[in-house]
Amino acid sequence: MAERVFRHREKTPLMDAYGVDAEIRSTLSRRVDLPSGGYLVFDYAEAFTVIDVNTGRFVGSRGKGSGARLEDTITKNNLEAVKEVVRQLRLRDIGGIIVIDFIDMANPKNRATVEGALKNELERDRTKTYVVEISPLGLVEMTRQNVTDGPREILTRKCPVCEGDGIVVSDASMAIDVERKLRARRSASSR
Amino acid sequence: MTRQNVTDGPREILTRKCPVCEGDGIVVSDASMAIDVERKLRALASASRHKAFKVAVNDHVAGVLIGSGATRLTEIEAHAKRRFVLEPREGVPHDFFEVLDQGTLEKLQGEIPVAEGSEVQVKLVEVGKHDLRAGVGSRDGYTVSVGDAAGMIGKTVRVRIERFVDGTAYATLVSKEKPEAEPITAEGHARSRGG
Repeated sequence: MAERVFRHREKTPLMDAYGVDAEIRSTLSRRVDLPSGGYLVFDYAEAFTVIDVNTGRFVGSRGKGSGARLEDTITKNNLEAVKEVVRQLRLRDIGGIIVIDFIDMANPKNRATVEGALKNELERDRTKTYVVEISPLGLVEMTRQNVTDGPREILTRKCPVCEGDGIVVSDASMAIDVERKLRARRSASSR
Repeated sequence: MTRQNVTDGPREILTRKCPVCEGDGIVVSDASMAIDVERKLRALASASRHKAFKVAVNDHVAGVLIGSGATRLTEIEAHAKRRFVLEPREGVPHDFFEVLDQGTLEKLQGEIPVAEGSEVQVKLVEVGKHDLRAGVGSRDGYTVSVGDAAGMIGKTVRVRIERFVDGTAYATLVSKEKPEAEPITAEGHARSRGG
């Protein structure tokens, strides 16, 4: 191993030069793009983690008679998603219950293909995983035992503004609140 | 189960995406943000001939960046062979980074109560607000935050003033042997691990 190690002498920091930083930061993002234009969205709910698979612009023509082609495209998108999902599960070290919402596939054969691919890909994951078959709604339930804190636990904290909700009261609703406060003030002082 | 909704619910009507975290519900921690700022400072130093820089950053991030007794800041400065005069700002975004001025240290730092490097006596009265390892006291109207002295509250100690940041002096103990410095910077950490 020793001969493979060399000193980094460039001015750009090591973590930037090899894209390590960008890769680590990408594990904090909700959205992960897939090679053919589809994308994944990670949502960390209290009970489990949800991974939503989307096609994005990765859809064949939606015209009549293209049903079979659309199904093919969707299956291909789902298969791409399988690879990235497993990669992200390992990178992010997500544990507990995980629900993956693949895009609906009409053909049971295609469902089986995607399910098989997922189980196959998960063999590379050294932590213990357990996959339940695709539910009628097209959801895959699985569990994964995580050993360490992932980058999300290490690198981030709850947003101090929204307390982790991801939403704040809209300007319009806040204006109504303020209006009420103004009214209350006026009626209190006129007494 | 599925449920077909007809209208927007209260969540859609009454709220909007949080502008700070963009709906993620999380933000990068102060410690990671301080590493980011540290890299920016290094980049700033390597791209310019000026000897000192005045930079405004978020106050919490500044706290991490300065470190207990300014040990982290002095290490960053030693590496970069430059001085960074930090201006901690309350209420600015977490990733706030603005170069306010550059030039000589004298020009950027302005007047300070005692010279950096001088040794003074100070009575420690409380634990640091942002740095729980620090013991804090005050002298002639300025606050002295002494690194790794949280266990010495109530005592009068001899300290060396390392840095003045925003009117607060960051100092290290000189009265007795300094405890072994913990690795604080990213690089220092890597070095101590790599041996």
